[in-house]
Amino acid sequence: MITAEALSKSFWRAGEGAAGVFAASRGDDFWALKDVSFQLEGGESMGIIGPNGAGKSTLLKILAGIYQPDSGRAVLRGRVGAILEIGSGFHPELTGRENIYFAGRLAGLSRRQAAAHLEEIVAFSGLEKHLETPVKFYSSGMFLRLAFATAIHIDCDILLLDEVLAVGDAAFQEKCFLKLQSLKKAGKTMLIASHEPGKLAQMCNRAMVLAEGRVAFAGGVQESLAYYARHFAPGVPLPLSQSAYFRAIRMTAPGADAAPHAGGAIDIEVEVEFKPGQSPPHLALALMDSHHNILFSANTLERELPPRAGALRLCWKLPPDILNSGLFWANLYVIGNETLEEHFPKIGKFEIPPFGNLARQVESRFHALHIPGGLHIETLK
Amino acid sequence: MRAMYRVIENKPKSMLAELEEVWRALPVAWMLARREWKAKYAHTAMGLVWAVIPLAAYVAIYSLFFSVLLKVETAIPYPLVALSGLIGWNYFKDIIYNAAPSIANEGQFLKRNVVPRLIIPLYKSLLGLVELSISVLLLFVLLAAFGFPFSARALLLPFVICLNFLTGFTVAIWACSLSGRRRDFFYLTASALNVAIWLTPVFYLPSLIPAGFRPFLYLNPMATVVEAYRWILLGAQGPPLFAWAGVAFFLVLLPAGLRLFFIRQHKLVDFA
Repeated sequence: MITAEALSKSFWRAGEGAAGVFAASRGDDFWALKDVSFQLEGGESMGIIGPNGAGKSTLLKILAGIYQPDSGRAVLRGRVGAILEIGSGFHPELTGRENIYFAGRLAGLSRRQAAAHLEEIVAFSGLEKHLETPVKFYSSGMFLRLAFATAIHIDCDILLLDEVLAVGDAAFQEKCFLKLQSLKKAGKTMLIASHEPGKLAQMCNRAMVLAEGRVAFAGGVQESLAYYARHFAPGVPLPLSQSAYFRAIRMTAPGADAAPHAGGAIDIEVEVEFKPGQSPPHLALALMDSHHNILFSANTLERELPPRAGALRLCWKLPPDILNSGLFWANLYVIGNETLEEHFPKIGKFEIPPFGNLARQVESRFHALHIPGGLHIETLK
Repeated sequence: MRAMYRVIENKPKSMLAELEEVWRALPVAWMLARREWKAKYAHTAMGLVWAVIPLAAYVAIYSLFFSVLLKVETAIPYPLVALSGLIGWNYFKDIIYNAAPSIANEGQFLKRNVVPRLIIPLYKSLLGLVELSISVLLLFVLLAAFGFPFSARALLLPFVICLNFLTGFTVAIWACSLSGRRRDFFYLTASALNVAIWLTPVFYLPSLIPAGFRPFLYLNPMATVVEAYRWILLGAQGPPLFAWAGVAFFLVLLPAGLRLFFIRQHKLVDFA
């Protein structure tokens, strides 16, 4: 169980031109964390999301006992394990085996316990053949695998994880994810800071959005991810264009709340202006979910474009009720010679509000697309 | 497993609670020291020989200047004077060079791993023990070569090494605690060592100093430590009683330095 009450932490930031012994105080303090409170019951998992510099790592380091807060209080019940920056405790000159052993001792294991963990860790990392090699000769992928395997096998009741949901190649990531889920099932309390909204949604029931050291939002994981996508992943400024200018976008998505199963069609209309005197290039439109996965796209390649058109309006009608709740973006692409020439990301967005029925709520946590039909159930003898 | 309960807040812990945490983490200090030794010597062809060579060179060059060119008369063969002096002084210097800037140097480690802060200067102070052991072995070789009798007082060696450690650690912990955003304090201490070596009977014996001034020599606790090494290893006359009292008095600064360190430790890591 973790209880945090109004945790605050400030850091000193060096000012410009600070020099000399007596000018040492030049610079100022800024709040990396300000009045952060939350409560996490035993066995619960909570995600922390926020832009870079929001205070996620600072919060985890305070809870791990690395930083002391300037004010506020936190109470942790249970043994605390922290995977903050994997491999940071490793020594490049020592072998894999020595580093595993050392990390175990650092985490407070006895000599015997550390030795007992060795086999398990080696098996998990899949690095049996490289155990006697100094880790400075490891590839970065091998290093991360060993470091993660070491960190995850140390006994604790509370696990603090900072940006560790994406380690190594796809197969190893899958393994890590399953391992974390089994730890969760085993009743560990977890606090996870991550930039991987998709994985966070599967690991946690709750989440908290941090911004500039404060709690901007706290609640269910889906609501928090939507809040984050809405406020902290805004459209990037559009690039200066060579051949086409994006003029306007209009999107209509009927509220899902009113009639979830009879959700109306989604209409996307984009107006694009071209450089005068040229024949218009081909265009593509794509729909992206809040995790930045592209869901569908459509293009004009098979169509006849009117030559010398100064501007075009593209209309894209998506079939009704194919999206789950969440935030969606439209991207525009200019295609020349069958390759992408220009990319206008996030030219427009719309949101489908949460559904009233549980089945669609659960679906929304996992993915953005909805396929009608559902499961057919038969009783077996 | 015993249910553990931890409160994190901005309240200074008692000295006892801090020391208890350090005590429990002592095996980690030992591991860190061993790790650094391993990393240092594992990648050399000659390993520990590299610890002997500079020492032997020092003794040879000082013997040349003091004994041959300057013709300083000593009751004990000069190479033994120089080596016995260097044993204590080198360890003292080593502690200060390693431990005083340790928090600043190991900031990245401390910001990512959970270890009581004091463990870092503590393990850095142990690093010099390898060179110290080799120096002592070398001294025994020289003693045998000069046909010097072994003194039973050599059994007191662990105590003198302990005293050597405490003296160095006291200076280092103060320099470490007083550093912060700026490293000036470390450089000041390091420069002071260059002067202090001449105020310590490392390359000479206290008998070189006029008798009237000799008591002042023992205001320097390292003078007592160096003389203590000669007393137990060479059978020389030991430091006077008031010198021991002076060391004891100096070591009062250790708890005070630890207290300062515990108060400043979080800020020190923030600045590292």
